[in-house]
Amino acid sequence: MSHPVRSAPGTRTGRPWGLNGSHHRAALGVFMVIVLAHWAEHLTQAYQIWALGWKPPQARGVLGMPFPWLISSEWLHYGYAAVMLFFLFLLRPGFVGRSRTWWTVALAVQFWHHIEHLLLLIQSQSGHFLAGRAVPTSILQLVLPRVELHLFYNTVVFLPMVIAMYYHLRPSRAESLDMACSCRPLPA
Amino acid sequence: MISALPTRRRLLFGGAGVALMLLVAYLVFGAPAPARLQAVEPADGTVLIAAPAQVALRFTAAPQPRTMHITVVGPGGADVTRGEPVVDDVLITVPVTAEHPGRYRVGFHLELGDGAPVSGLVTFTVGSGAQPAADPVEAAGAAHGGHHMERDTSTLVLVSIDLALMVGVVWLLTRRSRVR
Repeated sequence: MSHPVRSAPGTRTGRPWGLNGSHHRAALGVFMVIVLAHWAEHLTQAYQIWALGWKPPQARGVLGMPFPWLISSEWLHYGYAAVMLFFLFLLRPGFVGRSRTWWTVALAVQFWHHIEHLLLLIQSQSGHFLAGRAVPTSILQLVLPRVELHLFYNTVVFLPMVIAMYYHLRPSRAESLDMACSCRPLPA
Repeated sequence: MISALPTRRRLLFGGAGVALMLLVAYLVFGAPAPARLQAVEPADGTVLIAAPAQVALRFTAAPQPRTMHITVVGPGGADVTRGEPVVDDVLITVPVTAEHPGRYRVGFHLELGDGAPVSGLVTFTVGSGAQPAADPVEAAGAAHGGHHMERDTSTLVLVSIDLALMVGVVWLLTRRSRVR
């Protein structure tokens, strides 16, 4: 038996500025601009590799061309993982029903992703690497050595996020009645 | 009793948050990261058109070696180093005379300030069949796992999934919410 997750109007979400109420749609939009800008960088890298035939280390997206150190900056990757975690946590109370379940899945995966980046950051700063490796190494890379870590984790976080947004912006009638945010569909 | 759980959870989250902030503060303001070897220039296996004037070891931070020995041996087995290694910010360089075409071997051994030993043997070639030298960024990137996009099937699959998801997000955000 399922228990609907409710966030009725007037419910206190513990988040400021009506972020999960009258400004939820706008806050989601801002978050998605950040996420899409990040993906645009990776798609540019993919275009440079597969369409332009560049060698992978030379394919550094848009920002990585003038600032090559960005690509291997553990601070940058950790920072982005932290921003993702922050927004996923901040905007979660606005989601109800199935969308909340999927958003929580994304939050949980992102939490682990953030831990992995923290491990990489600590290794790069301390110079001591996991399992005697020569470079900073994540837990996942101990199991799957060839995985492109950043792309893999961001994909497995992005997928449940998009499903959550679909259910949030296309709710069932019962779910729409539970919604208290600005994403709630207007009555026909 | 009713409020015990939320209080405990608040303490747990608060404690975790403070611990995380302390860790980040330590990483930012704490002890500087120790120097580690990042690249050897010319990189191992490089074929050079022109003879290099020096061989350099590039570190992640300024090294403070207690001892350092770098020897470069030419095609005839002769020592081609000209002078002692010099520390210059993140580089340790030694001048060489590598004017004869052929294979050169670089051997190095250092003991850094924190006691960590650094040693290695790399080769580079000067002359015939020469190709452009490796991009320094590329050489450095090879030592950095995990973050570079690779040209393989799994990466292509992930990129394709992400492209489809991006289109889905844009479609969702540009349409009005509606009840299904």
